[in-house]
Amino acid sequence: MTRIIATNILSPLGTTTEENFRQVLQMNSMLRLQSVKFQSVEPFYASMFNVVKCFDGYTRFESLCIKSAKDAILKAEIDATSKDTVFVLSSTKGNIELLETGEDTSLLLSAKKIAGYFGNPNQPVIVSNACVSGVCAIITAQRLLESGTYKKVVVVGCDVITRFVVAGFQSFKALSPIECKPFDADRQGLNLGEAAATMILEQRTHQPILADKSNAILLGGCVHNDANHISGPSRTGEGSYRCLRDMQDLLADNGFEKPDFICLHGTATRYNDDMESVAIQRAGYADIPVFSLKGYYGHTMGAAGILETILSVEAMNNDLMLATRGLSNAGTTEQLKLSKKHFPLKSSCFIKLLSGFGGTNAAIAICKPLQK
Amino acid sequence: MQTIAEINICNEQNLTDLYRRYVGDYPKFFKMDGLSKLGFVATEMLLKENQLKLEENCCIIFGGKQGCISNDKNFQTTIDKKNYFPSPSLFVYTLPNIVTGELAIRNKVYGETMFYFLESEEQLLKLTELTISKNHCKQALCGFVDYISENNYRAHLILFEN
Repeated sequence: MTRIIATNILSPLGTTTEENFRQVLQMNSMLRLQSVKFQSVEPFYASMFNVVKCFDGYTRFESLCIKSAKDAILKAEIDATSKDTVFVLSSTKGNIELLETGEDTSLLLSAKKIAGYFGNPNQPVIVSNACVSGVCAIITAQRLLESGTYKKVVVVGCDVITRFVVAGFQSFKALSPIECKPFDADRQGLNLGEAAATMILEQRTHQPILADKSNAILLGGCVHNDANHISGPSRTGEGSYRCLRDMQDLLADNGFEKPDFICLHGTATRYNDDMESVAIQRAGYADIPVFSLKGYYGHTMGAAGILETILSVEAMNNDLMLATRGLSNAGTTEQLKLSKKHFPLKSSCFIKLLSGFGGTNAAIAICKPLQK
Repeated sequence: MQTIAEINICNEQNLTDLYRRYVGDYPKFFKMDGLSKLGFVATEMLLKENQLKLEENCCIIFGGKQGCISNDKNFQTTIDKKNYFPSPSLFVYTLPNIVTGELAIRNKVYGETMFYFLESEEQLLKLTELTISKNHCKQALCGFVDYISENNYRAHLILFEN
């Protein structure tokens, strides 16, 4: 049994999971128009840190990873220097802005520095699988635990907003000129967001501690490709549908008839949101409540899968269904069960779904500890 | 986990020449970045020389030390402050996992596609083994790939069966 023993979210909305969840409950967001942020780049909407105090010798990206991991490690009370603990890092572009000055952008180097900060002796594992990286990092962590390779895994996801990434998304015409509106009929694209998120996992054979409210059980996950297009999702939602089908089987194997809710990718691009609605319909999940968190945080790239899973765990443990911030009038190919307000929802398990460039899709299923 | 076929390619072999010799009918090749070209040609050669096909649920697990650094540098030149014309066709290849997506499309594979930054092939083999046993998949294409520049690249691909 893989257990989530501690988490952290470091975002423009707050420095802990609890603070971030409170902000989400209040429907807050730090999505703002960023004008003259980068030379030659048109103004864009994004959720960005104002100032990041960097550790000596560490970049902004690395400092955010360290701050987030530090809080979660303290909470989990684990020994990060143990040979039984490993770091798994999730990022799409890491220190890419260093290209401008000709410095080394290597994610291998960054990951070593981050693990090294905590005195961890093991070679970190780095997942760079586009927008699904975060969920893939959690899946990889579980495999490392189940095989007995390690006893504890610190999964850290982070990306920062750089000229490189904004210019790229702008050239793709994927950025919304307004605050993003996931699954809305008038959605105009995505917003980018900065965040670091950490999840600490461990393998346990016995029942979890009763008093620990934040813990949850990771049942498992899967990754599927659309085999369709490298920069656009499949119209039939093939990969996402296959992921949902796998998670359906996994939930059934664990005695759950269906997920109580699904946290979707919901980037607010026309194609992604339509694709997800088709995949949900095909999986027979049209009546399951769903939401997107992009209206609070923007698309946090390498952090997204971890950050959104952590907030979904909080929602599950508080028996709440979260609102899709930014949604006014739903409008996707197939109808989805969305909400503009949070509402009470007795929950025991959920699915987190993501998809991204390269035609890749990933999902995980999580449940409450079996006995509370 | 049993090795079915294996291939090594390095910069002594010209990728376009290999494409013409082994493929020839997939013009999308010319749009790819170096890393994708390398992974694509290596996979085509591996399959053709051994008369093999990838199964629908094959896992494509790739890794390397440098990812798509060569194309990152190419895209960076299009966002020069004095000469700013960001290229969307280059931007899409600034993700190292795109090569696995190209292979999934070409071979109609709906299985797991993954990219890891790794120091050694040994680590990648270990992760591939964990992927195969967890997914109960019959086949996995494991590729250790690095494309640093036109004159500096190498790929080592192994096709495993369970």
